[in-house]
Amino acid sequence: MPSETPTKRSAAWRFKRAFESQQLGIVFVLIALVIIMSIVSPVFLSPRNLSNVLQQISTLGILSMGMTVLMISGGIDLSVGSCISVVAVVAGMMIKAHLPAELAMVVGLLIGCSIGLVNGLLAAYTRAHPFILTLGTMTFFSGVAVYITKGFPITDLGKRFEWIGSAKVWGIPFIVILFFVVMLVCYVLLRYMRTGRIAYAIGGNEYTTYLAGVPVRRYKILFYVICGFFAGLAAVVLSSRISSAIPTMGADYTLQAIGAVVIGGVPLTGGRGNVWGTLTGVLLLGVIANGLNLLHFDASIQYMLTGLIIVVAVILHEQRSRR
Amino acid sequence: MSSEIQNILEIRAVSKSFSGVEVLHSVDLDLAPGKVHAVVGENGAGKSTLIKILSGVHRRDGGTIAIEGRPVEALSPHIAQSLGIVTIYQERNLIPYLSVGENILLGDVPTGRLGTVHWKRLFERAGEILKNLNLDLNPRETVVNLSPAEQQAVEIAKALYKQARIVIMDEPTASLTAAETKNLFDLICQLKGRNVAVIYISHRLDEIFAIADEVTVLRDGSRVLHCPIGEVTKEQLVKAMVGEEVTITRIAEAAAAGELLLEVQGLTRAGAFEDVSLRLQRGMIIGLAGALGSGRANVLRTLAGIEPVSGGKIILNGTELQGKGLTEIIERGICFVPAERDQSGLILSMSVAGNTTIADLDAVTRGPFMDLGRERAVAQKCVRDLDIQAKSIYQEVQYLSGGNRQKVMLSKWLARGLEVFLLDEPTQGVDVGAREEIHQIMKRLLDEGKGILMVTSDLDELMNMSQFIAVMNRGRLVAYLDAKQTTREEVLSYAIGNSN
Repeated sequence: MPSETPTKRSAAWRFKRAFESQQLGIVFVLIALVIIMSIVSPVFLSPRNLSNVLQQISTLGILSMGMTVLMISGGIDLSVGSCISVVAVVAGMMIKAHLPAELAMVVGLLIGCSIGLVNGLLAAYTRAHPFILTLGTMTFFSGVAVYITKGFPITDLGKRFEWIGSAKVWGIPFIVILFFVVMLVCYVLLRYMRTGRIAYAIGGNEYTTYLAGVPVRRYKILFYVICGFFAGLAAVVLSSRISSAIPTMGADYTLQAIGAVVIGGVPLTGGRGNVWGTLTGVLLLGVIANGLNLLHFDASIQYMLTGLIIVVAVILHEQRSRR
Repeated sequence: MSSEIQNILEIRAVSKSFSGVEVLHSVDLDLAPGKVHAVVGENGAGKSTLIKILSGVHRRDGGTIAIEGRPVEALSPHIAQSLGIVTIYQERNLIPYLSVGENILLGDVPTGRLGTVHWKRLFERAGEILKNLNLDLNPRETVVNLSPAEQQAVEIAKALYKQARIVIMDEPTASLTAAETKNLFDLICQLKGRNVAVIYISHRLDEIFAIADEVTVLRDGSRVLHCPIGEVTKEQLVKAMVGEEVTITRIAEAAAAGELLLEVQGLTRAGAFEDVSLRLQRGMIIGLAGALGSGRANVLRTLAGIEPVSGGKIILNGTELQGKGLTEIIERGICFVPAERDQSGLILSMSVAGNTTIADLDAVTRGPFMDLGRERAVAQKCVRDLDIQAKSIYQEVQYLSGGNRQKVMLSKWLARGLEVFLLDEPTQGVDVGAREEIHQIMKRLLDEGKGILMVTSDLDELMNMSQFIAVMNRGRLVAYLDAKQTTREEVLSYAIGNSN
């Protein structure tokens, strides 16, 4: 009987399970990359550069954590990049209209939630696939961001707004702390909260979850709002860091975030995955970007490498789930 | 004809291990042309492994396979097909958006001069094959529009077209009604008439007695019994499969008493059924019989709040319920256990614990937070009470056997103190042992004063487990029978009959 088999083998079996379920393969790739980089480039391991890497990944990290929650629940949001652009330019315009920076931030977060709400309502109340729905809202909101700015960037957002992006707490950049707080929140949400449990359930089997009496629609909307909120937060962090709002600034982030989540082991169908996987994915993308930068490679190489890693990671995950 | 009847297939001492665990121990099996050989056994007995070795999906570790006396070395799906071995799996293998004709002639489509498909000849040929089998099917029809039974018939036609000499059928009647099963048996008889050998795998023993010539029982990967079907009784088969005596639960004799629990008055769901009235008392089980499409499953789904009510009343414990949504109906004490276990009854990627608590998260949460300690306690109790075989409560449900999955699916409703259980095919695809355990669970629910409304296509289950049998035919309740005083024939005549 199955209950008796794994006594002798259990250590090896457990290791194998851990290897497969914790995405250790990707962790090894990350470690190997760090080792190679530290040999090839002497500055890579310097505190300054490491701090730099962490700051660079914070925006993507915050965005990817929201995406992790959403994708575990079986959803997907292609519009987060456009959401970042809209939030940033609206906040930028408010500051230029001499409204307080704090208000601009709060409004930015609310806009993020609202765009999430739109996506959530569409995903919950129509039978269309969210991939296509959010492809639509992505295009729509990218148009909105260009329309309201007439395509011009907004620069020099002022000291108060820049504080988030430049402040340090005990020598650690504030946005890095913010990223880790966001990760912790998502970790607790997914691991210890009812909402997280329902995210896994809906991603695992939406209909079963509905039959169990869970108000599935309400939760689906909530997950899109969560994702939108973190997209709004990512927008505030990003525009504060570079002290400007560009109507196309979010465009690259959508696929990077989805890539990080997928590298981290969340399948497109949902139901599996965790924040540690996504953290690995985000770090991997961050180290590649930073490393290639240090070695003076062209940005195009970064795209090519990132693409390769996403493909390899997805193939690995797919093979794991086949067995 | 040669002087003696030669076996078309001889399997000798075939064994197979998966990651060090031997799942087939030196199994023998002979197959004579024109005969039906039933292979039975509980889930995990090795039936599917054996089929997969024969159809070339798995490689055997040892033993020999000979076809018409010639030994076969390596088998791949392709080689198996060229040897005339065709497997008809539970999940259909037709291409849904192609026509019947294209599916039958797939891989051998007649082409015209320019290499284009010669449609006329294709449909003519397919039509001939269908006609030879007495099948009333249009070769131009798209497969996705066919019923499961018709799709199966197409697969058999396809097998014949490919000159199959050995046809393997895995649970072919799992989604068929009684009438469709009869048609399938006619087709199998035609296969026999053409000297095709059939390996027939089924959990339904009465079918095996109806169609098979000989039977092989597998248990834990070994052959424990092989004999002509005439030399064995149903009880002996069950004993061989399970390895011990099984007492069959019978509810039918038990006296139903208790106060009125659920009253259904003139319930109607437009387009599915109309004017259905039932009175379910505490400790009572009513079996809903009828052909597929008779509306019996719709009744359950409407009572559960999944399908909308068009008219009539649902009264639970004196309170009217119609118009309430699914969530509220569960809160009032009615739950629905669907037939499609893996598609709508379980979250396969989730742990046993997660599945047992998903319907009652209030019991395992404190405010917005999960109480993981409580959850562990609840899940462990479920596993213990229902004897669910799992490595741990954190094992994903997809790694459990069918019977254990079925129990996990039931378990999420048992802890909640609900009153009415709507069970749709509660033991579909479940082996004899687990089936008995599920029947015991149902009996326990009745003893606790719950009520059960059950839809089942399994006549044994219907007759043994119901106290009353409500027969539906084309959306109407045509008979309400006392299980003690009725017969299978009477139930079937109401279910299939045209007159009311």
